[in-house]
Amino acid sequence: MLQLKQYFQRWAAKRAPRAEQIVLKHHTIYVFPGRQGVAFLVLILLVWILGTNYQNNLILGLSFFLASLMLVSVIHAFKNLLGLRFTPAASLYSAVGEMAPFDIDISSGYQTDHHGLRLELDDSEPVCIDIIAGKVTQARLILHAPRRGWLKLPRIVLKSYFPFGLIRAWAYIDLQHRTLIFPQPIASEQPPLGAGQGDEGIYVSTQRGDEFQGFQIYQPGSPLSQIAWKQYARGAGLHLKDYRALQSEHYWLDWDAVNAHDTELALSHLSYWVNYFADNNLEFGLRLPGFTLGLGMGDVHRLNALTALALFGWVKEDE
Amino acid sequence: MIFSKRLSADEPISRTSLAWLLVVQIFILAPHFVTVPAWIALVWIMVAVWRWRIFQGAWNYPNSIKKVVLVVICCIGLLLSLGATFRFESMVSLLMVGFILKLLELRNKKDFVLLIFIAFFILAAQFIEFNHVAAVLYGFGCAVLLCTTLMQLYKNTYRYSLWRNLRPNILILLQAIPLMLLLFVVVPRIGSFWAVPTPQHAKTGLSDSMSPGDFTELMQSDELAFRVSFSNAIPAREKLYWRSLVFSFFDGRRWTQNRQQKADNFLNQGTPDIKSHVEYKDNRVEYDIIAEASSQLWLYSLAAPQSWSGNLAFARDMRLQAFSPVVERINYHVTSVLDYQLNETRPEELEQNLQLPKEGNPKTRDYAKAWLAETGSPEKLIEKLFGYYRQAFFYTLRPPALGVDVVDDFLWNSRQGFCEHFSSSFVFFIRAAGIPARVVAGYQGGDLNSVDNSLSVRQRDAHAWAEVWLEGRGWVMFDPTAAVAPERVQDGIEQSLSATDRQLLAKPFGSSFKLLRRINEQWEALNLKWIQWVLNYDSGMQASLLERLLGDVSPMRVAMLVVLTGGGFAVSLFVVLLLRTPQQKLPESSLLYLELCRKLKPFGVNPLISETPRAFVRRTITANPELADPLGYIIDLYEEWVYGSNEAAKARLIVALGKFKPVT
Repeated sequence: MLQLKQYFQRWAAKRAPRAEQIVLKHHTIYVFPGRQGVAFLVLILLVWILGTNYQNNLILGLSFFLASLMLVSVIHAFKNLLGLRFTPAASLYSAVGEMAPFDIDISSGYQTDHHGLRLELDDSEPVCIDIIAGKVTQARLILHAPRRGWLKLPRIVLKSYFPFGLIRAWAYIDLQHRTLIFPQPIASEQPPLGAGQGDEGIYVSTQRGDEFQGFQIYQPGSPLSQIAWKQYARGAGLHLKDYRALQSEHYWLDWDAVNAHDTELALSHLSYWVNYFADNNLEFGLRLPGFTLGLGMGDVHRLNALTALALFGWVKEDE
Repeated sequence: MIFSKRLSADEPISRTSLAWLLVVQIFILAPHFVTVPAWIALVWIMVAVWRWRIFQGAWNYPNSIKKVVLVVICCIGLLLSLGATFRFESMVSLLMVGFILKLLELRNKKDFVLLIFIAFFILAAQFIEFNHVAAVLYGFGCAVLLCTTLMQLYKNTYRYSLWRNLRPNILILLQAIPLMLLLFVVVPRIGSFWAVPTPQHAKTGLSDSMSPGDFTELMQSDELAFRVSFSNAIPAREKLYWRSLVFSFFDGRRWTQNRQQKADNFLNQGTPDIKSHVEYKDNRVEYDIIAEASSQLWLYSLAAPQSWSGNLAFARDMRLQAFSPVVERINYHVTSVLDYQLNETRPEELEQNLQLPKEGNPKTRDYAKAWLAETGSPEKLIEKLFGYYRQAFFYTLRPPALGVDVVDDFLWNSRQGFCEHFSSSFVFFIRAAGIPARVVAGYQGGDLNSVDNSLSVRQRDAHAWAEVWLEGRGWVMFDPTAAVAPERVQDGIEQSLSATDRQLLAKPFGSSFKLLRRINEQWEALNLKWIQWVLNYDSGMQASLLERLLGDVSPMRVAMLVVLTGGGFAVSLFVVLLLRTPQQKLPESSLLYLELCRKLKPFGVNPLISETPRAFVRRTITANPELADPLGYIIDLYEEWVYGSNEAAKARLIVALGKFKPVT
């Protein structure tokens, strides 16, 4: 029996290979009576016995009706999954020890509603959703994040018991989707600061600062408040007003300064301090063996730093 | 593992699901209140309120003590109102009480599904009581409600309108009908596994005796006794004497079957000489009868039955009857020969039909002897008696009360009465003259349904007449009522009565309006077809229907029928469902982009999911620089239209795409 299941799993996996987008077609949907379907068969038998004992054709008719209802609901169970389209939404991130989210966009290829869909993953809560015709519904699956780096979305089992719970329809969704897992931040007593500390401050360009230092060529995406509207009105084209501020403090987080023998622990300490500096709006840079991230501030900078830490020593997969 | 996860046991029930369940329970339980005690409705209301309060969080689930108390109270209630014997009513009541009390144990989805399954069973049980077309329509409605309720568990969106909830279920259930019909036709019918209690109803109808007043009661009932459909032309109305019982014993007040008749009922079934005393002559008619349940043995046939279905027995006094009381509607086929001679092979039978009480009715006895002496022959005596009836008697359903000597009082004093008085006095008079005679009871006439030419015979058509033994002619039928009121047999009982008497008579609904009568006839015709083709579809009909369809009923052919029609239906349903579901339409811009992609396919470039149209075009141009000009133009137009909402660009894009025919 177990072997049979394994054989089926392998066979099913071959039919539904990992893909960037998955549209459910007839050969990747499976239907079989569920536990309640078996109970329903018992009900049909009981009604049939009642009808036979009373020699009552209407009761017999009801038992036949229930039997054909079960057959028809096979078609509807199948149709409930047919044409569903699964696309990965934007990749998200999380940290080791937290829950890693995966967003999946689900829509229907047909103008019908799809009800009672359950997305199941091993050892995580199933997600129940309905798909309304013409709408894209986003489902978020949550997985435990065991280690840093890219976490691949395992194969999802999509199940539905619609319409009456008698027939289980299911399909395997092996979607190319991943979430970046950062190292778990672990505090150390001192920040691992490397050389280049305590420079007497340098001038950096900022959006808003103390001292106007001239104009820059307009870059798409710059904030409107920074645009030199007066110059634009004179017909000089779009320019940005540039200010400078004295950056008094900045830090270099350095791999060599980490006081830990274990690579993972070192990365965890670095993560902690990256978050610390970013939370406190301090300017920092990151030096790793073979990688340097220049000084910077803000959430994008934090993300870049954490990504570098997450993928440190990570061999690029063949994707 | 997919095989290990299932509907987890503690999934709570939504408000919508619970509301649906409570409403559907009303519809499932309602028809059963014909049989079960009414207080069960109070139990339901109490339990339903309780369960709703539990849902609201106001009350708690009953603990085991409360549960036991509830069950004990209900059982005692059932014992008090139904008694300890196991009857149909007690079976249904028990089932219903269990169904209702289970509500208090409804905690999770599993319990919910169980309740729905029990509801389906209770729905089935209602067909024991009700089996008309309307009952089936009601049952279908209940099934739609049950399925809708069940579906609530397998949906996550609850905020649907009533119609949006019901519509898909109605469609699915309608789709199940063709397969059901197929199963109904081919699944073999087998006999009962064990005896089951059936509902008992007091039935009106002929009883095994005739005493004054019996027929007045019958004539006030509009209830159907049986339906007849003739294979050939319907005989004239005055020939339609439906023979059911023959009474040979008179105790001065009541006519009954004598001991010999009762004992003879089932004698010699199957022997060829069972009807050897009947001489069949001419005028053969064939007909099917569907007899309503009467809880009695006797059935109905025209004299003289020549051949009949196997489920009937023939009694020596030329009647057909069932082997066991007719507790359910039955149908049978009879061939009768209207011109016949019924002889008598047993002299003691003639003797028995001279029986009279030792005393009473002296005046009649004297007259009988005097008139016989005066006329000289039985035939002439009967003629004289008929003449007397015709002259001096009055046909009425409200005769004055009669004294101790019933016959004397009727014949020589009140002279008012109807069939039971006429037949009783006639037979008494003839017997008193020393000629064998007996009372025959049954029905006369029937309502002709012009829609399907069937005849409905109702209790109000009950009639009693007489048979006299005439040397050389055998038992000859006489109807003294016809002598007094010939319109009784020619036009039916209603036409034969005075206006005041007519009020006494049961009338079919709307009989006085032509349109209503017409509708009523249609309805009756539908009912007849329903009974013939659905309710009475049995293994015999199955065999003949399959034979007509397949030519030869071999398991192989039946299997082929099932596989071909069933499979064919399932496949076509599948195809229709998929084809009729419209595909999601892509926006126009995507369609045009897809067309561009299709045209670029020969160059070995395919768009990636993560790629914008411009990125894709740029990649294509890098690989195929010769396409730079047309592609650059196209993608500019595309972006101008899609992102710049420039409708003019759209028109130019379509033209440009049409012209774009790259060659590798």
